[in-house]
Parts: sequence; C-alpha cells; structure tokens
Amino acid sequence: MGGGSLSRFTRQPAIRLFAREYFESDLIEQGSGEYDPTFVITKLGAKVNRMMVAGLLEGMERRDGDSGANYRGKIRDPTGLHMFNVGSFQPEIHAQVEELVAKFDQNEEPILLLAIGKASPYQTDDGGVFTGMRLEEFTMIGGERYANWLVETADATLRRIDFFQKSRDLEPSPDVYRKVGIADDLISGLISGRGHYSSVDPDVYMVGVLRALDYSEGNLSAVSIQAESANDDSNDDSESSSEQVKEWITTYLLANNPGDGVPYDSIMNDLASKGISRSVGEATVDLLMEDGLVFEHSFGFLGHIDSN
Amino acid sequence: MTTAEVDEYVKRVLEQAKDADPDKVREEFEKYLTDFLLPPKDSFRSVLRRFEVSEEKVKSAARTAYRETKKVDRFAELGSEDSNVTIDVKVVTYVSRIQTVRGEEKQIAFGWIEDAPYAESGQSERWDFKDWGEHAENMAPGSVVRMEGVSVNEWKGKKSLNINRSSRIVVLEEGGPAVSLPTSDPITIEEAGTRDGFVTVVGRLMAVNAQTISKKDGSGDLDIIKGKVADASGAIGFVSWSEFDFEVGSLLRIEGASIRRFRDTPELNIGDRTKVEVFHDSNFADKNQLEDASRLDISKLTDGSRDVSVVAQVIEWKERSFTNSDGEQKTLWGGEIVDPTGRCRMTAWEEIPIDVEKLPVFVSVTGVRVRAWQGTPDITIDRADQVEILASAPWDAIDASNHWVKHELGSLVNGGSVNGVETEGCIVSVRSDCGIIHRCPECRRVLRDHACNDHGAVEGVKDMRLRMVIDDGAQSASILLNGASTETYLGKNIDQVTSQIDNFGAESFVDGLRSDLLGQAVTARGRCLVDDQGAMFLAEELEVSSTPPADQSKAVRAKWGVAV
Repeated sequence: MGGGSLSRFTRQPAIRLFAREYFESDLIEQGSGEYDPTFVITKLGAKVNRMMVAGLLEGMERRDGDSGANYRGKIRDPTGLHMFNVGSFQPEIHAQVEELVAKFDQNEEPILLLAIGKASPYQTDDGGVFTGMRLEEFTMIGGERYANWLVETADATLRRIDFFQKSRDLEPSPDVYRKVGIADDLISGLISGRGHYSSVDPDVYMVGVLRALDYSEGNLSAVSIQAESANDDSNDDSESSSEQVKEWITTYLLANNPGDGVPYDSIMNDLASKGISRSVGEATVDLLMEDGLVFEHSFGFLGHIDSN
Repeated sequence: MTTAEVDEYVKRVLEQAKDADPDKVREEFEKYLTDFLLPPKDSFRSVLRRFEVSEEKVKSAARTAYRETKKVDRFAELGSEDSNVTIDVKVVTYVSRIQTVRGEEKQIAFGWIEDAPYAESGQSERWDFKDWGEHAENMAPGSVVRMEGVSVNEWKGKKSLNINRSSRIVVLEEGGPAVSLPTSDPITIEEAGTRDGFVTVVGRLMAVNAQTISKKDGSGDLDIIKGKVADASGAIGFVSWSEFDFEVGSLLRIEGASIRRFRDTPELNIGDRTKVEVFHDSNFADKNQLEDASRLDISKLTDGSRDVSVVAQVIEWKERSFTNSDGEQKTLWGGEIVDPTGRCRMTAWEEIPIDVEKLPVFVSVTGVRVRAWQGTPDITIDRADQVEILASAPWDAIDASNHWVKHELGSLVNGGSVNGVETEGCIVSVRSDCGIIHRCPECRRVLRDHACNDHGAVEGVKDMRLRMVIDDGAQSASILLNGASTETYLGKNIDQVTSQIDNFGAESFVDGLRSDLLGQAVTARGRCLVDDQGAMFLAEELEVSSTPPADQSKAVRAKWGVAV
C-alpha cells in the first residue's frame, strides 16, 4: 500500500500535508529507473510524490522563459508557504493559470486555492534542498472546502505523528514496524527518514494541527491572519521592521517571564498592541528561535536565553 | 598453445580424478601436444581415460570441454544458439517434477532465475530454466550460483536456459532451504491456497466429478477427476490426472500435490508422484459441518472457483433466449443476487423454480462454479438440482436498491473486483475529457477525431460520462460515471449538458466540476474492477460529504486525543 511499493504504472496517492512538514524536508529519494517517481521524504515519514495542498494564494506571477511561459506562486497555510510552479511544458493548464494570474493581479479579494501537485525538489551543489511543487490541477475554493482540507490534513498529520512516535524506539526494519501495526504506506519513508534526519521533534507539527482544527471549528482568527498577511505589503522580510520586532519580543520576554515561560499568545497580543500582525510576529519568533535566542520552554510557552 | 590452457585442462582432469598427480597429468597433456600435435582440447578425453575416470564421467566432462565457453553477465548478451555458457544468477524458484521422456521417467525441474544477482533491484532480467541434471541441492531458491556449461533454448521467441547433466552449478551464496522434495508435513488448506509448488494437506473429500477432456494436440481424450477437499480452514478444488478412487466424505491425506492457479483461484494438482491415502482422525469435522463452513460470502467469490456453495437473496430474475454459434436456439436464466457482504450475478442453464412475482426469493446453491464478467462474479448453475429454494429467509430482506457494502479504498484496490460496494476518499483529479462523448455504434468505444480505432470513421452515438480520480491519501483509483450516473449526479440530462457545453465551452464545464469536486470528500457507490492497470470504480452514485467541518474536526480530536 502506498509509496514506493506501488508499481510504476499505479498512480501515486496525494499526500495531505502542511507547508512546514514539506519545506523542512531535505531527503530526496529517486528510483534508478527512468520512469521511477521522485519522492521527498518528510521528517514524519511521508513519501511525497503527489500532494494535495490548500491555502491563501500569496503570490502568482508569469515568467517568460526561452521555452515559453511558466508560472510561479505561493500558497500559505497555517504553517507556512508552499512554493509552486507551472512549467512551460504544461500548456494544457496555462489558460486556467492565466485566469488565476489575472484574478490575483486584480487583488480584489483573497483567493483560497486547493491544488494537487507533484513534488519537484531541487538540490543545490552544496547539498541544500528546496522543496517545490509542480501544479497538476487546482481550483479556487470557499472557506468550507478549505476547512475540510484543514481537518483532513490535520488528521493525516496526526496519523503520521502517531506512527512516527510508535516507530521511534524500534529497530528500523519493515517486519518489526509491521508487527506493531505501522501502516504500510509509511514504513519505508519512516525507515529512510530515520537514517537521514537527526533529533526530529514531532511536536513542532502539532502547532499546525491545532491551528487547523481551531479554524475548522469556527475560530476564524486564522482566516483574518491570512487576510492580513495578504494585504500586508510591508512584508515579513523587511529588514528594519524585523529588527524592531525582535527587540520588542526580547524585551517582552525578559520582562514577563515568571520562570516557566511566557504564553505564546500573550506575546502576540503585545505585538498586536504595537500594530504588528500575528504572521509577522510568528515569523520573527521563528527567526529568534533559529538564532538560538528564544526557545520553547514547554509547548506554547517561550523563554529568552537571558531570562533568569 | 599456451601453458594457461594446459593448466586449465589439468585442473579439469583433477576434478574428475582426484587422486591423480598433477605433474603426471600435465606430462600426459604435453606428450599429446608435442608427440601427436593434439591440443589439450582434443586429448582431454584420452587423458581422462588414462587416469581411470569412469566412462560416463569422461563423456560428460568432455562434452563441456569441447565447446568454447561463453562467459556473460546478462541474459541479454545471449543468443539462441549459445551453449556452454557461464553466468552468475540468482535462483528465484525451483520446482522439481517427474517427466516421462521417451518412455523413461526422469526427474527434471524448472523455475525462474535472474541475471545480475548483485545489481540493484529492478535491473535484473528473469528467465525460465529447465534442469535436466538433478542439481536441486545446489539450486535452493534465494541462492546465488555460478552456472557453467548451460545452454540457451529458444521456443516461440522466448529464450530460456537448459541446465544439463554435465553443467556445473557452483553455489556462491547460500539461499533458503532446498525445496526440491515435496514437503510431507500437512498444512491447512487455507495456507496451501497461498503457496506455490508442492504441498501436503489433510482434508475431507467434498465432491468428486469425473470428466473427459480432449487433448489440445488432438491425440485423444484424457480422463480426469475434479473435486473439492475441505478442512476447518477452508476448501480447495483439485484435479487428479491419475486414478482417484475415493468416496465423497472420506478423509484423505494428499502428499506432494502441486498448487496451480486457474484465473484467480488456486487448485491442487494430483499427479503420478502425489500420494493419496485414506487418513484416520475421528475428531476431523464431518462433511455437513464442513459444508456449512465452506459456504462462501459473495464478497469472497473469485473468478474460476468451483464447487462453491452460497446462500443468497435473488433480487432480479429473467429468462433470455439466444442462438448459439451452431445455430441452436438456447434459453438461459439470469439475474442479480445479494447477501449481507455484497452483490453479484447468477446464471442458470436449466430452469429453476424462481417465481419472478414473488421476488425477493432466498436460495441455497451448492456445487456451482464462478466466472467473472467485467469484474462482477457470475455464479453459473449447470443443473437445477444445485439450487434449493429456501422456505425461510436467513436474514431480513435486503433492500437491494440501497445495499452497499462499505470498503476502505485500500482493500478495494488490493482486492479482487467486487460489486455493490461503497468507499470514501477525496477527488484529486477531474479529467478534462468529462462531458459529452461519442461512441462507435459497433463497439461502443469512444471515438477520437470522429473515428473508431477498429471501425474507422463512423457516425457516433452521443453519450456522456465523468472521469475522475479518488484518493484517500494512501491509495487511489479511477472513478467513472456512465451516462445514467452522470445524469443523476449533475441533475441534468444529456441535452441540458450538451447545450451548456455548446454555450459555454467544454473547458468551463470541466472547470465547474473541478470547482465543485476537486479536494472534496465523497462517497462513491457502485462496483470496482481491479486489474494490473490499477482499480477502476464504476460509480452509480457519487455523494458529496456534507458533514460540517467543525464536526469533522471534533471527530479528529476524539480519534487522536487532541484537547480543545
């Protein structure tokens, strides 16, 4: 079932996954045959060849290359961005993509997109991996279908987290995994991933799951976040503002830490009072964590390394 | 003449005459070479004799040595004329049997071997082989061996390897245990059905049926016995090619019967070497108990089964006449049956007392065979006495118009073809050729550019259909809705769809479908055909899931224990 055990003539299933799980992957598996599918193996063991993603269309542009028009875009879900492209060799969907570009450029209302695509990872000479996706089919959807996708993807992610945790302390062999009931479609991915990724923390993917479930239960703040980030052209990458935000977060953490961390949401509320959107706040916290200045005390509670 | 060649032949002589002095052997070869100008190749036989090797060994050793050796890595390098080939292979299967060659019983074996045993998987080529030289002990499945002195055989364009009496098999890597000898420990009938090669079973004889078949080459008729044996784990059909004189109900031990597959159904083959004897076990289930146990659910029927017993509810029954190829007028009866596990067709060649006015009628059928047509099993009743009309219903009458047995997509895709099933998944592709199509009036095939593949340019018959892919994240299957199902799903008839496409274009029609269905969770109901191309679900109904996302989310939280 699933993944590489299928014969090459069988259609690969569409893996439901959030952006974060995909862009944090850097293991590419490619069969030796000419028509063997390429897989991106995530830290949770998903073998991704085809995927189903959804979210807010956050970028959509046409580029004219030597071999004809091609397109690039970004879809934002509760955990981050999926980068996608449409090749010049896919003329059958160009007309539909052109419509999407036009609609995006009009910038009248946010566009929720659901897309089926193929993993198209790219490895640089120095070993870095960019996980991208080549669009196969897509459609604009409404909030309800998006909510359905969020629940379905949360479910799929929880399933992977569960099997990942069950597999952790076992000898990495298909027979052993099968014996404890790990699903066939994940076995080979979990084994390859285990030989490649070190210190995987499945809890980080719980953040996306919780946000997705919250939204689909009618906690609409997730929608407004996305609408904000779409209209927010001051943009996450802008250097100067990001330094300022970092400083605000640091100050707030140092001032408010009772010893066991500061609730994530209170940081966001503090930033909101300074006019900083939640998405910018989150991105900046991520940057600080990458810099090693901020760490997660326990789930949902942050601390600064200079506290205490 | 090089010394290397002499060395090689000295080695070969020593293999046969182990006690000989190598120097003496060399001397002998050199004497032939210098005194008689005979190269070692030609003096080999004489030298062997001089060192008192038995005549038989001399012959076989000489046969190998006389031809040039061709050493290859891949089967692809071999031509149909090649003999005395040396190649390293992996043994995949090894099945021995007794074959009568020119009136003499010979132990031969056949099986599969793969070349390039150390290459990455998927790159090896697989060939058949025949072993005429009883090399069983060196050819255990799974082992890697070097074959020397084997030859290529080509028959009807297919090449295989012949391993001869004089061939040498050198084990490079041990495989599993040798399976050349029939196993004598009995296994359950259920397990036997999953095996290949020889098995031993103990079972009760449930049915016997003598038949005469005419040989394909027209050389006459052959009497065979077909039947069924059962134990507590299940039942299996058998064919006996030799005498088989047992009464229905006897308990038998059948040792060394080979398993063969007819369509999707395994069958025991009882041949000359199979030992069949009466077995005594007073605790073994009797015939009636086994009959109850071997009654099959409709979902378990496979193409090619025989002696099947089923209890079912007949929901539709019709008489039909046709003229066969000999111009005879024939009548048969057919219809649909259901049980709690599924639905299938039933066909009778004799009239059976089913009153169409009184449907649904419950029947118990015994000893019938199963064919499949387009993936739906079809129970064939040859004689009216195979059917018993049941006076009382074994279950509350099933409403056939709404009887769908739920299956996970994975079990459908990995199972056989079934009818009357429903499954869930998301639509992950809406094919661009959804909508109006034209079919060939002769063969119903879809026309491309107004022409049929077989019948050329024809006036097409208009039809509509929807083609999609359903996927549950681990498996996928094609979904096809025919004209009637498309009309039901869209709530539009073919004329309305035609005018929609005429006015707004086929693309806008497909875009609309995508917008409704892509990424949408659906329940499909209908039948599922499975072949080596994958699974195709012929949906009678396609229902879009209407559970509100919030409820689904709560279910997911409950399933995984995620707090709000």
